Amino acid sequence: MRFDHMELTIPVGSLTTTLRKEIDDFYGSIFGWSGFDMDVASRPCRLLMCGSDQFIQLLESERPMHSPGSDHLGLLLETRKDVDDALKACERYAESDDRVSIERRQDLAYPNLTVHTFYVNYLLPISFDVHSQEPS
Amino acid sequence: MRFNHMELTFPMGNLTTALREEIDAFYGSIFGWKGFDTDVVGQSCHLLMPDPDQFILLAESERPMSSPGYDHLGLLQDTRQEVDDLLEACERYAEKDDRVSIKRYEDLVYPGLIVHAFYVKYLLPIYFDVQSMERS
Repeated sequence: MRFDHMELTIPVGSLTTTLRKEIDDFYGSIFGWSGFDMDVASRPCRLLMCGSDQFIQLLESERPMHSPGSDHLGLLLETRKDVDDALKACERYAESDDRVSIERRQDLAYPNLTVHTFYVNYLLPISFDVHSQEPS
Repeated sequence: MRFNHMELTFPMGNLTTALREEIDAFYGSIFGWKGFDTDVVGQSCHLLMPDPDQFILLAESERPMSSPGYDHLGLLQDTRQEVDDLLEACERYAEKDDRVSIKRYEDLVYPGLIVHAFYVKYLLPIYFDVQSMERS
């Protein structure tokens, strides 16, 4: 068994062409994700293909998710440098779009493991914990 | 890059010992997940681990997630039979605990792909989409 996708809902009327394009632009340029439209059970949906056979599907709902706190989906990258590069790319994007929310974090040091991480959120209901895990 | 974890939050005071035990009993008996307590940045949290490479972190928050609809994390199984076996196990559990919420679905048939799935939710803020994908 493996985690392969997440469905996230946003308020009815929110999943506009403009929003879809903005989401594609950000997550495409930062993470290389590709977005396209499809129907899921006769409901219009925007799919973000994230690689590794994983995807995020965005749908409108009368009862959308609300996540004002730290709830997140973890994105494991290969190296610390990959994380730093993604952070820099997010920071550059944020210079031209103040809706990019970035939370920098200190490394989490456990016995035999260091987690290097930052959180980012852009126009989706939850944040992403972009991180690497280094044996120590 | 791959999804490797989720953090899900509960209202302050909700992540009690009793709740942790109930969560472990359900997700352990149905999916084989291991649960244990851990401190993250000084906060007592609970980890659910399907395997060493994937986990769900449960934490309390002043601003917890709410998901009144069907937002979910997808759990990809290898076969249709595994999905059916898990559905039966959830149904058996629901006979003695009416907090198990199950949503059955017709197969989703796409060109070249059949998705066989059900949703289940138990004491966590979101559903799980338990599914198999059969290439046709």
